[in-house]
Amino acid sequence: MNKLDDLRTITDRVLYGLTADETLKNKILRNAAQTPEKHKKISFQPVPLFGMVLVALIITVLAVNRLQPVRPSTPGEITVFAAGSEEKDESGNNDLVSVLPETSSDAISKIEIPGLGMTDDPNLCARLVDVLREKAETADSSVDADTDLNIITDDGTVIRFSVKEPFVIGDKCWSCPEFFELFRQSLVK
Amino acid sequence: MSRQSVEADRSSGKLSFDQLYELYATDVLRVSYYYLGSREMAEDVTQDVFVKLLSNRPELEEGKEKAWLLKVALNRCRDLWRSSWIRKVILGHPGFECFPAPDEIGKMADQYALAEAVSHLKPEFKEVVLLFYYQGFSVTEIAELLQIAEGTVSSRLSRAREKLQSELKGDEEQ
Repeated sequence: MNKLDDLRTITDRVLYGLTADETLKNKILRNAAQTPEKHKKISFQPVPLFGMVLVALIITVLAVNRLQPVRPSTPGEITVFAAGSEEKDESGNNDLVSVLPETSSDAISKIEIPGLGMTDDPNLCARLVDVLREKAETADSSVDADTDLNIITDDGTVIRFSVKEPFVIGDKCWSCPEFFELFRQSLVK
Repeated sequence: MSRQSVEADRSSGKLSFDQLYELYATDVLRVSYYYLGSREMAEDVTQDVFVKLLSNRPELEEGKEKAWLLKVALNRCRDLWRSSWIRKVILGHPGFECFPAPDEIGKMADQYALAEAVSHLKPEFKEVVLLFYYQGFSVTEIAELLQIAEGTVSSRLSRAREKLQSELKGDEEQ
């Protein structure tokens, strides 16, 4: 295999036209300009630092607000348009836990999807909510809804999501085919 | 900027991006091309490597710049190779296109055969052959670059030579 010793020369010949040129270099420089540097040194600059603190404060306030349950504490005929939750499960997915009723403490009187049907069996309603809590996974947020999902508790609270099967949509979008499957089964019964 | 002038600049300290590109970008491109068999993807890999160089600003040890660039390139090539898309598109239709100098056309069948045979080796063999025979790294340097034992490098080189010999002999017989 003496020819292998000449692989450099051979490659220079057979791949003569394959060179890293100025066009590629300019492309790299353009892309690098759009890529944030990872090891940029940070020096002390009072004004930007104050700005950063201010922004961090605003973000914290907004985040804390979003983490508040959207369900009202006052009983009554109140409809809540569910915004969804910023909480995350162990795998980092958004979940619906802080928005949905606690099935252990809140009685759910009715679940309805206009155009599809409704169920008012409390046990089944609790199971449906549990399925949503356990099985819903964050999905593509560009889904257009075609109807609503209303979860109504005994105190008259209506928690409303938009839906397009198998997606449940708040300010995020979750996929939960199991919920729709169980809901359809409940209608058959 | 000539290779000699770049080498001369070493005495003044670290090499600039322009110098590194001038010295090694074509090597990165060609090694990636050998690996992936696609000019477009080899250019993408080269781009990724040098963008990483600019954005991460790694502390490159003097004299080991090329090893770093090729290491990043081979890692990227490996990632791409493992993807199902490239298995389907490249492995399903293996090919090695030449880009010869105009006056070399027609007098390089043997050279082409060897280059093509190298490009058809399995990735683990191709890597050591390219680093050893094409890029001139020693077995120790390759072991460090690929993070494998020196003995593994040597045995892969040996098996790669056998495979190449067998493939090229087969070509001659046909």
